[in-house]
Amino acid sequence: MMLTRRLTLLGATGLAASAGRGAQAAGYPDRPVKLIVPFAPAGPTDIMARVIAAHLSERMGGSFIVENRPGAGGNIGAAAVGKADPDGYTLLVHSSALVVNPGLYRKLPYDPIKDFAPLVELGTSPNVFLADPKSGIKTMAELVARAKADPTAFSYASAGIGTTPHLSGELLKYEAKIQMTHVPFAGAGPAIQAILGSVTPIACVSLPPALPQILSGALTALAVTGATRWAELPEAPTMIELGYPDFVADTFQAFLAPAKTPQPIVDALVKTTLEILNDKAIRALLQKSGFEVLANGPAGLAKRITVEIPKWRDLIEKSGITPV
Amino acid sequence: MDAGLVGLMHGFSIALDPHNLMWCFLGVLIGNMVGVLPGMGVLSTISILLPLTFAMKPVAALLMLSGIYYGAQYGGAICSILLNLPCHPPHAVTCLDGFPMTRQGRGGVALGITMLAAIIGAAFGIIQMIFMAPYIANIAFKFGPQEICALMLLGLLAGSTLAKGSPIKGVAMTLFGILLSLVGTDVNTGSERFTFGFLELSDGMELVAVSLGLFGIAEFLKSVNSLSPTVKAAKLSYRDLRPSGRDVRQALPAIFRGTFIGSLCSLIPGTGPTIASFIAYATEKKLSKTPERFGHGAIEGVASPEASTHSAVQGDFIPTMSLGIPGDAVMALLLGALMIHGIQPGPRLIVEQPDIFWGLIASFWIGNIMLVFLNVPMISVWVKLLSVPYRFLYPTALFFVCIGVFAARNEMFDVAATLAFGAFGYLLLQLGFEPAPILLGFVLGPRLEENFRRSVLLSRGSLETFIDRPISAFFVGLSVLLVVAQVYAALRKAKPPVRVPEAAFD
Repeated sequence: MMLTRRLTLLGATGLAASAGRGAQAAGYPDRPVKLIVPFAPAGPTDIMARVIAAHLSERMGGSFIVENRPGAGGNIGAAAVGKADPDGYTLLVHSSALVVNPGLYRKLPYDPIKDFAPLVELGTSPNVFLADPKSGIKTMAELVARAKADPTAFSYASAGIGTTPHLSGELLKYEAKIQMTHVPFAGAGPAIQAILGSVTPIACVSLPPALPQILSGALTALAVTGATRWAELPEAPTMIELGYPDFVADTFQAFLAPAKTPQPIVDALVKTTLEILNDKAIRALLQKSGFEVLANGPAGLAKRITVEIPKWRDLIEKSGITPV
Repeated sequence: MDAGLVGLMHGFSIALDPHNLMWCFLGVLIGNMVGVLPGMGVLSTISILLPLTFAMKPVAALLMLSGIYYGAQYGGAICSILLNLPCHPPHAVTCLDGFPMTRQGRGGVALGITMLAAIIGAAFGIIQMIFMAPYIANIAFKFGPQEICALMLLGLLAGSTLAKGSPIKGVAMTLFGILLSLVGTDVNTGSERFTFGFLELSDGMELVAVSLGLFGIAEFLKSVNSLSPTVKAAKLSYRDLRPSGRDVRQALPAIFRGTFIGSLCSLIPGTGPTIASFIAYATEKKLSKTPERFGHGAIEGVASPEASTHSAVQGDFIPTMSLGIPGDAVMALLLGALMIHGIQPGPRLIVEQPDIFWGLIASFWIGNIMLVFLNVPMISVWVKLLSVPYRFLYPTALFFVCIGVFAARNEMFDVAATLAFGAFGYLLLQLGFEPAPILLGFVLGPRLEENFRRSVLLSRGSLETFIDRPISAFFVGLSVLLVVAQVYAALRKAKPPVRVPEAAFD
């Protein structure tokens, strides 16, 4: 009862809002629009998609619903959208897996460039290199020095094979010319738990889930892998500042439509999504949930995709991961 | 101690606020219904309702979503016991003795005992969260990969003789379960195993699909082929619905053991209610003086896993709320709900957001009491459900099963997998293989493998790592003892009659 009432209320506000606008892409949407998230609910990509979907419903009218199609590192959901009718009613909110997977999988069920029309680069979260305070390591320079002195001394936990934290760790090994044993876990949570329990002295994970542990002093942040420092963690340097030029390895969230989606619909979606992301209140909320809001239009996203696919493929090759 | 009571008082003032109380009630009600309906899972329900919580206050949102989680456990055992449909993985093992009890006309008694087990298990879980959350969370850190691996080994050894009948067949089924669990992407290398090119298999089989297929569908196939109905609802008086004093006396020690196992399991990373219930059942059977009664309607076989499930479900919240580290997918969703409201779960949550932490704990008390009042009067209604003619009851249940399996991942493939497992399960039943150990292997196998490889990776290949650490050495020791005892017992039994070689071919 309560639920239906609330739903109707939500719908009603959406309708009222759409009455004022209209005319952007005549008649769109006249039925529910699916935003497919190729990961499980409540992960970063899902949270971003749900915030965007709620505000798209409000601003464009109609209902934008999030559908989770997890599996195969995001390939199942991405393939579903890549093969969907390009009518603007099936859209994709994906993560960096879009640009990492081409290097990680020998055969993909979709073409990351040809099958999609990039809409908006929504946001990004950097990764963070963590040290267990019990290990006595306080800076990246100390880690590199000690790992050089004893190549078997260190192991690092990551959120899993082929995730950007894992690849960040491999990039560090390659750039700093050190050895560390990679110990993959199934997600950021277990990896953080492992370093908290001193299973490994070092970890590399996405920053937002690790932030509370860093702020409470349970873990030491050695460096962040974003292009700039993280607002809530001003004392942690970026890898670039530490003398590793081009060491940027973050996880982005991107909004895409199937290729050949009608241009008026693409334009309307891009325009509204950028408006949403530039709204101060929404931006602040997303920031608090661990995203740096980017709000780059189709050109910016397309460029990032074409640049990053070869970048990650190259790194995957260098670090000796065999594609599946 | 004092801080806990003061916090709890504060929590009650939050949880009894009419607005929060309403959402808590709604949560447990939805949860309870989800639990009863065959097929609908907690995870999919929470993810469907998650967007609604955007518009709610964070405390109310959390109370409702958690209510769904523990509320579902109250309904979860009903289908297992009455229909042999393990719709909720933690209650799968309850089928083993719950369904035979129903066949003996004691389904109501079994349901009554699950209520008792639920309230004792949940109460213990909540009390330990009030007084010991920060300390107990630290126990989790004592369990590294070596300890988890050794514990899983012990669980598998103890549980492989889980089912009635031939132990060799039990072991074979456990190994088969482990093999099934290998399907999917290997965590350590990222390579795919036994996926045969199916994209849908790259994340492995769905536990719900395997368990519903092996138990529910297989049982259905068996029943439709038999001439007389397997379950009779006749001769039901009110007395039959209530556990007798003797039942309660038999069940109580099992409930306490189950509660303890559940609370321990909830603290170990990656070991939730499902694993807890299997370990509790296996332990109960091992400790029992009459293990041969298990599988034929032993009340301890219902009481112990149910208590462990409820205590593990409440315990699950401890690492999640006091460390900000989700123990399983449901907990990850709850943390996601908090993050959407801009609340960072973590070690400082208790101090920075006392409303959330203590309000949640107080709502556990209130919610669990509401659930008892919701469910106890319903027991007779559920049992009467069995008097619905089989030709209506089972197709309806199967319909919900298909919806539920589909909803778990929005994947038709899983529905097909469930049906395939059903056919396979039927074959196993005909050949006298019990499917329960398959689930045991399927649930514990991946933890064993993953942590074994992690341990060896960290120790650079040395197996000594398992006996260097006291907790893991203890579990390894118990495992050895278990095997030796088993072999010894078998040899002693085999001695008196001098065996003729041909006997081996029996």
